[in-house]
Amino acid sequence: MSQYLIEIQDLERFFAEGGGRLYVLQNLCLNVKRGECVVLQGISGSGKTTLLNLIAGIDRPDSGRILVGGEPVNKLSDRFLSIFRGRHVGMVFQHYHLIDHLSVSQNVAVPLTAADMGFAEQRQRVRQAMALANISHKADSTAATLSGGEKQRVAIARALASDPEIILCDEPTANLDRANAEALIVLFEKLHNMGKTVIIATHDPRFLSLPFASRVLRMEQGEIVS
Amino acid sequence: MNPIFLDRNIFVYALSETVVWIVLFFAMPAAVALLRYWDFSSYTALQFRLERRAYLLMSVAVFVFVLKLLLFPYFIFTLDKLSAIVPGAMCAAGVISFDPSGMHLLYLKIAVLFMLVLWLVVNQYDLAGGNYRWSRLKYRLFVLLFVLISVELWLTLRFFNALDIHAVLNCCATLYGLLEGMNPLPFGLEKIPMVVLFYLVWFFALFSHAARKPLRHFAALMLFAVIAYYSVLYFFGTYIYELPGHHCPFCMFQRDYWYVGYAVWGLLAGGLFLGIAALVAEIMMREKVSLLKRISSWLLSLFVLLCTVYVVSYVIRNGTLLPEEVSTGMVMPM
Repeated sequence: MSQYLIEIQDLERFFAEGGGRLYVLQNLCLNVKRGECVVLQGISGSGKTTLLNLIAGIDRPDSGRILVGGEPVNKLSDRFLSIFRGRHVGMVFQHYHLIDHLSVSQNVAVPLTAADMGFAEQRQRVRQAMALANISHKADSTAATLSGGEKQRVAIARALASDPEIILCDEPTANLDRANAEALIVLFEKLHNMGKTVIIATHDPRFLSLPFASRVLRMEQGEIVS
Repeated sequence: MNPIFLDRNIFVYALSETVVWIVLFFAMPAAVALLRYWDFSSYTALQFRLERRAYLLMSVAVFVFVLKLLLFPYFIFTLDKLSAIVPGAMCAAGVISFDPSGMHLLYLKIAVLFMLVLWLVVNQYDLAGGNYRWSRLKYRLFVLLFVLISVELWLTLRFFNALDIHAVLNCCATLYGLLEGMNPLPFGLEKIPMVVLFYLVWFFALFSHAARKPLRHFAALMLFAVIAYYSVLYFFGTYIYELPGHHCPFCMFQRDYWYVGYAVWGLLAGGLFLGIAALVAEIMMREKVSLLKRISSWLLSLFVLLCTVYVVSYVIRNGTLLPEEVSTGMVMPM
């Protein structure tokens, strides 16, 4: 069995543009061990979000291989991909993607609705995830009434609800003030200490010197350059 | 072009069938490319492109094939409506028998229906598995279906184009009337033994399904197809019409009989096609297809129940079965 939880080989993703091809990712190779915290640095348009989407199985590549726990993610049919995402991946989006008219606890429970578990277990998972993300005190508030920092915490709680082994974060501090951003970094450290594999895509310089990050990788024009 | 194409129902039907064919025509190059180059174990750009096209093609095909399934009852409805303007025809039977190709067209449409159900079953199992194991089989069937649908469209347009609304057609009483001295029932059966056999074969089909004997189940369904057709025509149908001498399979599609023909023949066709397609798919894919067989058994049971209700209802209301048919001495038109 491979020592890597995530193995990416010769990954390419391009889009048609004016009769030609616009490469967002080119011949990208990356291996991530279980429990690692990897920071992907790079300016907007360097391919960070696309890479996260491909690892999560939200998007499909044009060529190359992505193995997560030995499972070829980009070869799974939609049905199996949904099961894979539900069990193995928690995604935190830059713009939170919460359902505004639902309460915090209902938003956190969304990924569990399709999971094969009882109502009591769902409630238990939601409570744990909210406590971990330090948002339990807002459990009954609707998402629309929350501040940016609180919304990001709800998004993280939602990503943790199904207890995935991989957490993918896309620009988690982009819309947060300094205090909220630093509180979030503390939360990431907590997740790392719990043994979660965390990949953070960001252009926030604070992540360059994270003491718990195993690696900081720099992306430029769809390639990992350092 | 025959001005009959301006008839509202024919226009809509012919246009729908043509649109279905055009969509399939544009999907064909993708299906052929998938058949030629599909290699799921490959991670090349070509394979990923094919996987995206396969997804699109599958979505289009499912939509078009479901539409095609719905077009069949509309075809019967269209023929039935035409009988109002074609002299002599009292129902769809007269119109479809206008030209010898009409019955061939009907048989081809039924064969296409079965192939559509088979394709949808294989597609369902292909998607349910994680590795698209049945993609090649699915696209082979797709190509075969395209050929059949092309021939069907050509025959359909030719049939409507040849239809002469001034020609006097035969009515169903002539076409399905009893011939003097001849027994029209299969295997030389009399009416009552045939009805007993109808219930026995239905029970045997259910039993062989429950006992998981696929070959016996298949044989039972094939036999039931024959027995059920003749039983509806020569026994249960007479209770729907409440006329001992009326043996038309099409009149029951009319408003006078509450359009019950769609339910009777629909349940029978649905039950048989799903059951047989599930068994054929099992042989081709070597996988158990139990849910569809269960649905098939339910549909056939509903069909048997519906047929029985008409007889029981008649007996309750009249205290007796329908009287035996009196021979009219009718001869088959040459």
